[in-house]
Amino acid sequence: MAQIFSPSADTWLRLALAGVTLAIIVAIAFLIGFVTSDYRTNVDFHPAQPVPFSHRHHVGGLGLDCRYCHASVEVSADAGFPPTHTCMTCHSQLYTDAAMLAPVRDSLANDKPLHWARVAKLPDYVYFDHSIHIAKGVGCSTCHGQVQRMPLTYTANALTMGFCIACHRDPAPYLRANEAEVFDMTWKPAPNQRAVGQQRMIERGIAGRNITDCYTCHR
Amino acid sequence: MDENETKDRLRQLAQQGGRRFWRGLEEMLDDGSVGEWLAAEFPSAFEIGLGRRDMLKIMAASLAMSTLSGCGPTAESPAVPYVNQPTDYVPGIPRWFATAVPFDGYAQPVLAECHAGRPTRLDGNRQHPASRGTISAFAQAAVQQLYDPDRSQAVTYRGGITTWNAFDAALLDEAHRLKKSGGAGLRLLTGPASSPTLMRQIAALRGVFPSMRWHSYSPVGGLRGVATRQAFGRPLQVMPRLDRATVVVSLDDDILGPGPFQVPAALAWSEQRRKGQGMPLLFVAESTPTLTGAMAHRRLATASGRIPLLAAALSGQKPPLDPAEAAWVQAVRKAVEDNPGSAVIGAGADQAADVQALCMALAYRWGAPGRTVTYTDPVVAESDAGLAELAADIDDGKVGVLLMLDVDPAYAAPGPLGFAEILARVPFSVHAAGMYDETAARSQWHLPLAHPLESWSDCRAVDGSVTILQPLIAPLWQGRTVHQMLDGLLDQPGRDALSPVRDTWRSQLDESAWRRSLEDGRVPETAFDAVRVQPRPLPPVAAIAPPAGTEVVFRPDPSVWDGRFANCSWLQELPKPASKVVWDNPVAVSPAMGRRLKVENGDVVEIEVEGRRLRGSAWILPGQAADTVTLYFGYGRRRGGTFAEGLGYDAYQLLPVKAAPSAGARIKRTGATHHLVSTQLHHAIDGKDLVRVVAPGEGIDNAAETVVGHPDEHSLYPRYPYQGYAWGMVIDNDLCIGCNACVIACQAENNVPSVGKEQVAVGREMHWLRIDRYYEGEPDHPFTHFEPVPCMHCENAPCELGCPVNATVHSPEGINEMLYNRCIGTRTCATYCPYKVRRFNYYYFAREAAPLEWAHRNPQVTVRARGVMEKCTYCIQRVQRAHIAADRESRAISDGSVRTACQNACPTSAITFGNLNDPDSAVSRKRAGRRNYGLLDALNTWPRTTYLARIRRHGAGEA
Repeated sequence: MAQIFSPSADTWLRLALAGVTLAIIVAIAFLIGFVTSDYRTNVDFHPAQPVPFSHRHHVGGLGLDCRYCHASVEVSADAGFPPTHTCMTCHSQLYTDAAMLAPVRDSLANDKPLHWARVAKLPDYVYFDHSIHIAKGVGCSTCHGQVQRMPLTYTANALTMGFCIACHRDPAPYLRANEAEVFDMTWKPAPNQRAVGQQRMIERGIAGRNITDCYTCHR
Repeated sequence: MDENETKDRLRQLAQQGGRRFWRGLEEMLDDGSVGEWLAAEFPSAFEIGLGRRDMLKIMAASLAMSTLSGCGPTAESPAVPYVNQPTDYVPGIPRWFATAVPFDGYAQPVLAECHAGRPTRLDGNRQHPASRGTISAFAQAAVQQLYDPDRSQAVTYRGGITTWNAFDAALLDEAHRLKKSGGAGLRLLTGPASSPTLMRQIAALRGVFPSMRWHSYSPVGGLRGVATRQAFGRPLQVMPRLDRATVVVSLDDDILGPGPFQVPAALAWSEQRRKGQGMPLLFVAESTPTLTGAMAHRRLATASGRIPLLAAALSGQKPPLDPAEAAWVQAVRKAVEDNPGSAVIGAGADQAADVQALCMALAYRWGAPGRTVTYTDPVVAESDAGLAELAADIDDGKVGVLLMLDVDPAYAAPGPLGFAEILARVPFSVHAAGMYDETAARSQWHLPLAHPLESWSDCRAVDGSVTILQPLIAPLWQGRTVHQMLDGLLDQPGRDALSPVRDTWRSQLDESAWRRSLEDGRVPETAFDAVRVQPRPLPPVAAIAPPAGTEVVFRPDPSVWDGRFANCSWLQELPKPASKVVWDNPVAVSPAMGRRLKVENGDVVEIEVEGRRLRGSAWILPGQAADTVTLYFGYGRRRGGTFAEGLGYDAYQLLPVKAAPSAGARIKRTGATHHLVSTQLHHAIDGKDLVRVVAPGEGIDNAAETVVGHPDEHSLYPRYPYQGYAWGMVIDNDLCIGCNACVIACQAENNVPSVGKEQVAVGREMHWLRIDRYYEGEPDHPFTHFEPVPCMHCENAPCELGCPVNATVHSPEGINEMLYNRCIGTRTCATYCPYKVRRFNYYYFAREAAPLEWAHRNPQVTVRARGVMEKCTYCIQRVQRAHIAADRESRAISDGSVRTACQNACPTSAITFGNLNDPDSAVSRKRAGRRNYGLLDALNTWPRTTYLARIRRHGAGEA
């Protein structure tokens, strides 16, 4: 009876097994890489806006406070987008003929709201609340990045669950001293940040709260 | 099943442990269908007719496809700020407005929760004595009606779409013509009404058109006005004070049942009941089981036609009574004698006027007028005439212009009147309503009516106080209010909606008082003062026994009322308290009649009354009077929306013109069957002592029926230290009247979908909170118990052990969490749950809803996709909101600041929620009480939701 397998069959089998294993590893690595990639998480993504609003000009240049436009950030889950009226408080006097601002003027004239594209997006099953983060000393730039340097607003951080929970597990490095620091876009952690952060956690009642429970954000 | 069999079965049930209750006749008969429901949460899963290999293939395919379905891009939703933001608006925080939802002429005071300018949910108005923050199921459903995609959306003329301008022009023409004739032939038809603006407009119309006549019609409500005239010589509203009277006697009068009086009556009843003495003593004689009957100390099932005899016997006459009736009457008389000056009695609104009048006179004599029973002027205004007179006038050609405002006479008129046919003889008929219904199709003009939540109007609550209705959203379909339409006749066509209402109140309310009234939801000092009355001598009631044979009684459906809620899926899917039937109206027959006719649940029977015939599916209702057949309104609709049409039978076909129980009816089996879907066995819990009953002052431990005591809380694991908050709930079964308000509140708050009749039939209803109904005793006259069952949030939760992906976990505050984004839908948790409170999304119910319906979803709660499990979360969104508000100010959450949706709605405050770690919290104090028990506590689940046993006075109600 002739041999069924050639002498090289064993080698081929080993190669095939190694190949399959490699393919699985590569596929998993690719998937992990893909879901955490900037492409997938929208980092550095500049969505098209009806008006090319520049935070660099308004915040970095003119020094407007965040709350001038995002007025409900301290009291509500939503930071709030400025109504057209807010834009027009200045732009009824400044750059009144700028072609760039035509959609804003049209909005006011026709009572039709502007449709802004969201930059910082969270899935629907995540219930983020701005007010509590502000109250406990988490600053705007911690999540939104250096907005005062953005000519067009983009996503600075991948707002994944990993990003959120890193801070919820260990908030100390991110907690700022007071209101002025919270809204300071150039804030840098103090040299002894961990020590002061832990002190702030105790003072603000964060230490006793379990904020990694699922229902903190999902409901 | 004959009597001996029943007794055997009851004995058998009793031996199975403790006081044994049964859920339905199926369990009583033990025909095997119960075992199936007991064994599994979703019995239908066993019905898949596939072999193992096919099953595996399908599983593999669905796995692949479900992986792909996760790859889609998330929908982009732009941020749309206001152009001019209202000054007090804060994005992300709901705003609340006080208004009211009229129901049969009475205002149901509500607070509407509005997100970004759209009302999403209704709560009761805490500042209003007719609500005290609680709300009925009907009032809550108003928000679903608002966004009903089937609502009437255009003006139509002879069925073709036209414009408001065309109608205004046509009406102007008619008004000119009518002015010349002084309004001869002008008729107005409305439902019961109490609106001061409507009254002012009708008075103004009379000024312009002196010969105008105003008719009003409601299929329920009956002859109260006639009765008070007989008893006291004037129209009155008689209010038995359930909070003060010690003995309450109801003769076929469903005081606690659905209707505009339910919430105030339940508030008053619970106020006395809460004292823990099982008071007031409630005696009920009724033909068909009601919520009032379920709460009775002594309930007599007797024909409606025999109620006059009972009334006569109670007033001292000696009519012929059967032994059971005589014993009941004797017990009532003894209770009345033992409690002098503290008894009230009332007869049902469809009883003959002299019977009602007699009961009013008895209540005056037995009680303390002004204390146990109060009298005020009638809140619902009296019209010139009713529907029968209108029909006669149309027949005589006396009606030229007929305005029908928010009524549906072509559907809801008594069948013998033939109103739908004679309507065609009116030369100029106008119908304004929210739906394009039967009347719309037969009127020349149909006008879309603005929904109460889109309208400026006013309405009186049960106590007579006025609530101004304010619009919460602009009319979705260019609807106009009733007042705007009458403005059209008063030479002001097309005027805005506010002006007619503001005109009414301009002299009484200046701008600041007007604003305050809007804010409070109540115009101050408009409640009616109690009036003193003098009873008139009454001729004795003709206490003649009704002719033997079958009688037919008519009742509004507990879920869809007279049919106006027929297109509301929330209410269609709400199990009716007595039968637990959904999406249908059964013909209720007694177990005795069922035996006699050899019909079972679902068998189609034919009922004949005075030559008119009707077919409907029988439902054998324990506690139904032997020879009484009950027909429920609200079904058999030919128009009125997707859900409304084609369900059940139309009871109006048989409704006599003079409302009275019809005797001498015939009923027979047809041989056909129609599948009625009832949830009475669904989610049946397998265990002992599910409902418990104690005597006043007694606790569970020394109650004789206790088999299972409190087990020691033992576990192999160290007990988790719940620091901070430990949320828990206590449900007082003694206060639950089974009204279903909590079920709808939960559905509205938590975006719970309706699933339809077919899905309910296989046990897939999605209600997070259900009300289990248990019977006790013999089927002919059982006691009825209600028990609301939400998630128990077991500290030792079996479901959490079952989940392979940790989608259900325990929070450090003791809440059993359900994480939709982790759930892969194995349903293991549900099979592990002994309480059967977990619900599975077999379909993508949320996406199948019409886009308009998305508007009333609560933005604070995730809308669940297909293939995930869900269940009661203790309204976690409210807990978290309280946490955030408290944490922002670094303070503790105060007791009572987190109220769950079910707790908020409950008219009897049977539900308490709070922090069990705080020994002084309301929930801790209740849990520490001796009536406290856990459901299935022998399973060592340590439920966070516990119950308080029902209180029954031993010997109460005995003669």
